[in-house]
Amino acid sequence: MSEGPAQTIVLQSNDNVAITVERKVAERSMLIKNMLEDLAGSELDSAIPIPNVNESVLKKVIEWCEHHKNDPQTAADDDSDSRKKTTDIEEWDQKFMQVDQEMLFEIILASNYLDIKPLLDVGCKTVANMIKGKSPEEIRKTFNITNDFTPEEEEQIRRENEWAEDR
Amino acid sequence: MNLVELPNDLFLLIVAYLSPRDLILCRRVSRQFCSAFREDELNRHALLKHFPRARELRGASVDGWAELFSKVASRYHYLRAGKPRGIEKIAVAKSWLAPEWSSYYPIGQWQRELAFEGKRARFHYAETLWTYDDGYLVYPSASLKCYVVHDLESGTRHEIDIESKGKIVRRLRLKSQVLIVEWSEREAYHQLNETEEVHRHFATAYDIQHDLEDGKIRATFRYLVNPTLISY
Repeated sequence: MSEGPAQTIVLQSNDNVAITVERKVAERSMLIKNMLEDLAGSELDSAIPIPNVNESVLKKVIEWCEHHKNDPQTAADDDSDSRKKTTDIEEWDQKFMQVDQEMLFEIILASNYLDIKPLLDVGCKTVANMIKGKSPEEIRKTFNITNDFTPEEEEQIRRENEWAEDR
Repeated sequence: MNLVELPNDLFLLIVAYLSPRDLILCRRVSRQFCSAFREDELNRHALLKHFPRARELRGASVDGWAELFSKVASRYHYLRAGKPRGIEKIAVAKSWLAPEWSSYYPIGQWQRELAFEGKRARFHYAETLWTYDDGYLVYPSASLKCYVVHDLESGTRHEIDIESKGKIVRRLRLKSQVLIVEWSEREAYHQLNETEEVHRHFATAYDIQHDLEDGKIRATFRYLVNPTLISY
């Protein structure tokens, strides 16, 4: 492949904001990468619509892609276990994911739609880490959930799984 | 938006990072969490991922993956922690020899030897009076005065007839639902000299079978091995 000058493309969020990004950055998204490859040769003069993602989320996703634009590409169907075993997240990504929950879930949905596997993994790990090793009460606090069990029902569930309570 | 309101494939991706304990504790968060974390597909995935060798997975069909997952997770928790799920004290007869129903004869158990690099030594641990395999415990029960199969899963005890009257039972071994009883005749086969006599020894194999109709466990005769002469 010929490496021309840094190409840019324009992405358009679902609230009609056009964002210009370096092609290499946008290609962290397999959806966009495959689309650009399909269009190879023909001139791309209009913005690419991203119908499922709004401006603030798209900017956030692009920020991630910018930082990770030189990461080695993982194989398309890399379902190896090494990826799944640990919930360790590198420091930059941890800071990146310090956002409110609405944004966190939006990032997960957007990275799934745009097919950015490493970002999807980071998002899922972040949510998993909010649950891991926590008591039900702590999980309720974290996700702002009301306990709608009656005390009897809760006690019943607790007793059925006594082992999980002792640590 | 809430965690359990994510599309199911994404929800499954996230819960794949959780430990069995996390998955179980999440059921207690709220009604919505409870139904999401008791979902069949999630529990089937979790079971295959965390406990791929669980014996329940060998069966043909499973109904109620949520119940099965919590049952298996609990069992593995206690196994890993080395903590018993429950303690039950069982009165085992003092020996195979002393009680009348298992025949009295003044001989000990087999002497066993260990062999290693051409050297031999007495194996100091006595043979147990009980034998265990795959959920079944077979032993001479002091309280019931007979040999029993104890199904540890259901906690039920079943008397089994290994025709112990008139025999000296010398060893019991259970494997793959086959019970091997090593025994000798009570009377000497012939007198060797003034102090030693020779006994005929046999080994009988029984199938330990769970009768699904009445729920009882029975020992049915399978095979008898030819006599061996052993002198004392």
